[in-house]
Amino acid sequence: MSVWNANNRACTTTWLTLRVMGQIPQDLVFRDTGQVKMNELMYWGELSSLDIKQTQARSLAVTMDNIFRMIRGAKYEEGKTNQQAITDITNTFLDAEKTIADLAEINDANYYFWKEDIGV
Amino acid sequence: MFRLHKIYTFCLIIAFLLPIYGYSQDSLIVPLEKFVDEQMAGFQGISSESLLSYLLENPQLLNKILQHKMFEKNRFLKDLNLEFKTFKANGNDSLLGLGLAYSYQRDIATTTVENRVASQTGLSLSLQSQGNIAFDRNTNPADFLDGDFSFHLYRSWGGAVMTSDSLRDKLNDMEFKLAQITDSEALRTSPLAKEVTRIFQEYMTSQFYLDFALRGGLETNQNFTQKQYVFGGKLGIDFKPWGSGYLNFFDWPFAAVRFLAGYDQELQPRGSSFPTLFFGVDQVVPSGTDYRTVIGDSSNFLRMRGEIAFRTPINRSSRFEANLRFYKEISPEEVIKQIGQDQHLYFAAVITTGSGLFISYTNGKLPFDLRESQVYSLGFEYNF
Repeated sequence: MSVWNANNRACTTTWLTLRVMGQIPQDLVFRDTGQVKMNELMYWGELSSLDIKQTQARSLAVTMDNIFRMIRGAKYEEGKTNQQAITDITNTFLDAEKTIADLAEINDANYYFWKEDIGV
Repeated sequence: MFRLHKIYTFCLIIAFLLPIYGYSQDSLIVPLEKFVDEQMAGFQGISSESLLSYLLENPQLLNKILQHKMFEKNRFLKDLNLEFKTFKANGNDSLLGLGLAYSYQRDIATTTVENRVASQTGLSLSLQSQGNIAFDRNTNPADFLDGDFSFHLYRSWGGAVMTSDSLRDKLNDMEFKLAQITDSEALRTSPLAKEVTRIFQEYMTSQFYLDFALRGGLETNQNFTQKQYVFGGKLGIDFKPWGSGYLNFFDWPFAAVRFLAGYDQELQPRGSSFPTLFFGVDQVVPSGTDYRTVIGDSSNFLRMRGEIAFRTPINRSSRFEANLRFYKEISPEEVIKQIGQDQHLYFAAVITTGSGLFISYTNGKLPFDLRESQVYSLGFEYNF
């Protein structure tokens, strides 16, 4: 199981990004967010077809990538690429049982977040 | 003596458990045995048939077993989602049965064609399948399975603009402080949280996302007596006015409810809830014995299909969701029009609450469903 930690920039940035994307409730505190599953995110509709879910998942993955790189200043880790990051995020969004902690772990592997190693 | 479908279900349960016992670590076997013993503690002394009847009519317990960490570590297909459900046949309240809903979806391969500042273009190959299977077919209200391979070309414009180094430092600091808040109400009313939201609304822009794909797939009922091979194209459209939620006029009524109920502190339609659209055109190749064979027309036909999906919060734990789908045959034969099989319209809406209570409404039919039905239901779902 992935570790959910307020000292891990990937965890806090994933939480805040999902919050501003409207995918988690505005009053869901960071401490309680890690175990939330993908099928509890706002976009996950029980009535939707897989075609709709796939469209939404990749659209959200691109949005998350845009926010990380352009607003938050993240770069891809050495050896990682845009296509890998987008695919990993998309496939995580499409897996009902994956958690937000799992998503943060994937983001940690793909992105070097702004000044993450100096704790600023 | 057990009915045949109950024996089948029991074997299915055993089939799930056997591989786990065969290949899993000892450290997980004992906790699973103890877990099952705890769940079954209230059933000692009950006959096997009664126990099996209980399991078949209470899929929540089977789902809880399925979500045990031993199954998580040894999922046969990592991205296969399974959920046991109780099905009720249309127009027959006494006909209940156990079933399984499944879905599988994965990008197999992806490549980026272009990645500029705020636009991305890519190609991907995907596999997906979903459906409902009732162990007694007569209880299945949505007897429709589909799956396809598809080759996608997607493009996204907009969504965010570049920020300065100083703003990035500031956002890091604000994020760390917000993450320390442990009280929900304190977070919801936090001036710091409001300031973060304002900053993101300033730097997030409207995003357009298009996803065009060519596909080949299969649509079938659960016993494969009626099936259709489909080849065609499809287009997904997702528009999100991230920084301008007021453009989402679909969400205005729900924004009013959230404001009047005190969940939102101001009237605030969600850009994130803007509906997603989908269109497709397929060449359909029928196969098997179905209504088209019976009336003497089993030729291939061209079909349009579309879907609109909308979902938005009502409060912290309640959601409203609506889904509209249509399927329309292009230039159908007269006999197909006469029996009403040239077009299908299906609408479903549901309000779900965190307590498990839900209210749902469905109207219409899906392909292979020869009856048009209108169903209201009020129910309760208990989540362990």
